[in-house]
Amino acid sequence: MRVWLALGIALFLLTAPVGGQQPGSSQTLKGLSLSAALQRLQQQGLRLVFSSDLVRDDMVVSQEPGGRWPREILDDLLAPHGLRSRPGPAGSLLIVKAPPRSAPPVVAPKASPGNSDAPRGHAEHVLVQGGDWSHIDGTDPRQSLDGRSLENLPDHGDDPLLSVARFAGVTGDTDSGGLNVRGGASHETKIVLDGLELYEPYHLKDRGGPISLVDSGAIGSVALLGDSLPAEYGGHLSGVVQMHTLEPSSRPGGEVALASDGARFATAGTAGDSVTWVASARQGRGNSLLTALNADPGYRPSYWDLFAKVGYRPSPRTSFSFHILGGDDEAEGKNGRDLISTVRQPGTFKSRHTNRYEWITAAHTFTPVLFSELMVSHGRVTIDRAGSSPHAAALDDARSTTVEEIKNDWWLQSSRHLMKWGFDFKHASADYQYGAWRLSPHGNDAGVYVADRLRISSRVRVEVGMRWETQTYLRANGASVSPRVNADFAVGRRTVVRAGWGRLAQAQRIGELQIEDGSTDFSPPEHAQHGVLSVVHEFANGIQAQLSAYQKRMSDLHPRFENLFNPISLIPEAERDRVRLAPTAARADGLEFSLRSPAVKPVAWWAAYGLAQADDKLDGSWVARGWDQRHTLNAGVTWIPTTAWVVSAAGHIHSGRPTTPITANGFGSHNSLRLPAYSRIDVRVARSIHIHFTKLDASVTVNDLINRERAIEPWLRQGIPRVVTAGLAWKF
Amino acid sequence: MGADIATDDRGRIALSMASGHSVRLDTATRIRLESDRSLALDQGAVYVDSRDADRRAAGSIEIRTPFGIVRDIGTQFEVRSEAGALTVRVREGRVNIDASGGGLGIEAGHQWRRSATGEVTKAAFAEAGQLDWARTVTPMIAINGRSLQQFLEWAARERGLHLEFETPATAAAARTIVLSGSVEGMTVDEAVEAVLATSQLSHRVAENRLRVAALKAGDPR
Repeated sequence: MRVWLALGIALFLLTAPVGGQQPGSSQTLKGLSLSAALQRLQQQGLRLVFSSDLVRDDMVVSQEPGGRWPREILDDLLAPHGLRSRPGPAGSLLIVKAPPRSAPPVVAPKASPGNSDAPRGHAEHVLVQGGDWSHIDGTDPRQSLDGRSLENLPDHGDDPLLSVARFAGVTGDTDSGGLNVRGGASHETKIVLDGLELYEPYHLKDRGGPISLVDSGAIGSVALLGDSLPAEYGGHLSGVVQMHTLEPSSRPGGEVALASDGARFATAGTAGDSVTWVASARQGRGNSLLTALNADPGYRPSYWDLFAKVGYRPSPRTSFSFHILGGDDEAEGKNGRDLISTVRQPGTFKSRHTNRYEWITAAHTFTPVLFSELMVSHGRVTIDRAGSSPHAAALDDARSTTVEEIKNDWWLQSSRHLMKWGFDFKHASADYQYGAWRLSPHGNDAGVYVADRLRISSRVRVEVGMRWETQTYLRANGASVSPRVNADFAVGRRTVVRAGWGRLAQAQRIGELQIEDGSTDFSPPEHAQHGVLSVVHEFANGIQAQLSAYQKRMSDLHPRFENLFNPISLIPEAERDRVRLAPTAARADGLEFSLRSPAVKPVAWWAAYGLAQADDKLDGSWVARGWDQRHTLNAGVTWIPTTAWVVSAAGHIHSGRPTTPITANGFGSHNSLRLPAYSRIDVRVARSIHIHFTKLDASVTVNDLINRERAIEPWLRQGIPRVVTAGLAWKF
Repeated sequence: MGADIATDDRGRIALSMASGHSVRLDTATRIRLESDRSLALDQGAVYVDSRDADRRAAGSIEIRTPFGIVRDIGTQFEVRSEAGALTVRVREGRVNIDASGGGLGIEAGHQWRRSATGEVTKAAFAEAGQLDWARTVTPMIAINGRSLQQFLEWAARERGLHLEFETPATAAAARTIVLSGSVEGMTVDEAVEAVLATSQLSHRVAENRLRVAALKAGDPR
């Protein structure tokens, strides 16, 4: 009884209106001028801003609004006049023109982080989805964070990819760079920066890659697309992480920051009417993380990265963007005692990882309904490792991967259709030198897609697409055909049901050959079939709820190598716990439920629960994948009591991950045991001080406040023990 | 009158004088209100605007400092008394300074400084954000019933910018568009963004100009 009472109260609190919003007045509004009706709503507490330009005197309320709450009434009042409200500063609502319900498609806005699947490289040219799909903001399957939210989350280094690990459906080690999306392996998640795919964009890769290659100071938003992917996305089975760099405002500004892990500088601004720039540079040593890992004091890594973007817009219809991204990691072990290794034996180690990317995008609006974006890029990633281990001969590993790519996307919109088509073509080459092995594969990787989004009625939209991909460097025929279908159904103004189905293919990239484990041939592409059903509802008080069910079936999987107990060993291939897994298939099923409050001051919160199962089929039996978490709960709150303080906290709980028993005869049945449940609380406190016309931000972030992992043997850990990071940033 | 007002090192406040003047106090400032047209600045900085949102002049006000008296003539200016030095920066209009060494006038765009050692310098004043602190405590304009033109003139003046319209048609539209609602709680920049969004106009700030244009296809809405 108490439980039901508590649930009832919780449900009431959850759905109760916030901000003092009360049910709308029973006074009739029909017959009033729209302006007068809006003034009535102002009297009921809505903070509106509008002008006679859009709310004209001749506009009359011709139909009594059906909504009960002021926001609902507002929507009802505005819609017949082609208007809508959107959130403005200081809790206001701005009355603006609604996107058109049909053609002509508006070539428009700076896409919000959660906006549609239209191109983002040049936000000014994004095609707006038909207005009929804008019943609620949650129709977009992406989960996203803007730059401010990234900064406020209690992740060390405000790391954008660590923050993604807090999204619903992401499992695995949240303190390393790998992102397991809905039961998929981490290499199945594509990471994209301003349209360019990055290859393992992490620092400290010898330690699992817990720090992103891209500094958060340059990031404007990050989003995860984990549902059935539209046809323009290829080459990955599980998900896409899209990072978009800042779109500079008119006023140049910057940031110089010092933290216990390193230093960074970022700047963004405009020059004249047509040039923008964003740049960031960072240097660090990962001291806090290494301390938490109790890593050998003799192991001394250092890293730096640099990003720069210059945008040039010669005309309102055309824009260019030039990008560079680079980063280096160097590490050396003096005595080589690797304390987090399962084998605490002396050895030596030295490594260098480099990443270099240069890319140019050009976007042009040919007509108000036809838009195209072209990207040309060059990328090079190198890895050099040398060392020794008690279990293997001297390590001598030098490899490099070079990829040149051209990518072209088109969008054509009519009254009921949004046609999308395009291609990408990569020429890739790699050099492997591992001990006595020498390999130099090269070849092409190409993909073509076409899709049509059809508006069947004012409530139903269906997108059907097809993608074809091939890789010439694969020994077997690498061609794959991937059909995709996605549909949205607007049940009401506040509820949308989404369904998606698709087949996806992923080939080994030319730099992914596990030569260190003896693999010298590329495997045929892996395939996956996704099905997803979601319901998104926005309550009257702005709280958004989403319930999703998904099913993934993976086939043609290529063998992979894992370390059973210590995946972040310095020389993992030399460790005794290295095993080869050759699943014939895999499956992932799950339910996810998430809630998030509107992003209003002083308190914003979110929570996401996932019930999931991810298995490999090994030797005819289904066996839990290493990152399977049956129950996962993430929740967080950000409190901004004044403009000077930001306090945020986030909790993470999940069921114990699978592990393999050790028996007298060696390893027992693979992943047949479960580790204990894992929990963590992260906290960040930040204070801003205005100094003349600049701002000084001081922050302290504590990851794993409880520090339960500290007491656990390293090979049983499911996360990094407590990490305390202090930072000071001067913003000007 | 005769009230003492002080801010600590974190706080700033804005005062509306009975005379119609807007007086803003920077951090670590101490003043005494001697009358509705006179205040004594003991320490810190004050920013004075002698025109209201409708650009009506509030008459003259004087700022008494240990180093002299600063009188305005329809203007926006800052008086800063710190570490024995007095600095007067004039954004608009003109001020007169009655110092022990005699009187002098400071024109818009200039600053006058008397150092602790008595050395006096007068130089051109490039804003470069030096008066940004005053914007953080800007009393917001009540927009309800005002024309867009009035609002933009107010915003441009608060920002120290010159208001420009891309075309005569845009200027004409700004004169006829009437605003409703409230921008209370917003910054000046946020208010400009918000109001223009409701009027299908866009703006750009460059080279001390607030340039307003009609929203084009491709502009953020």
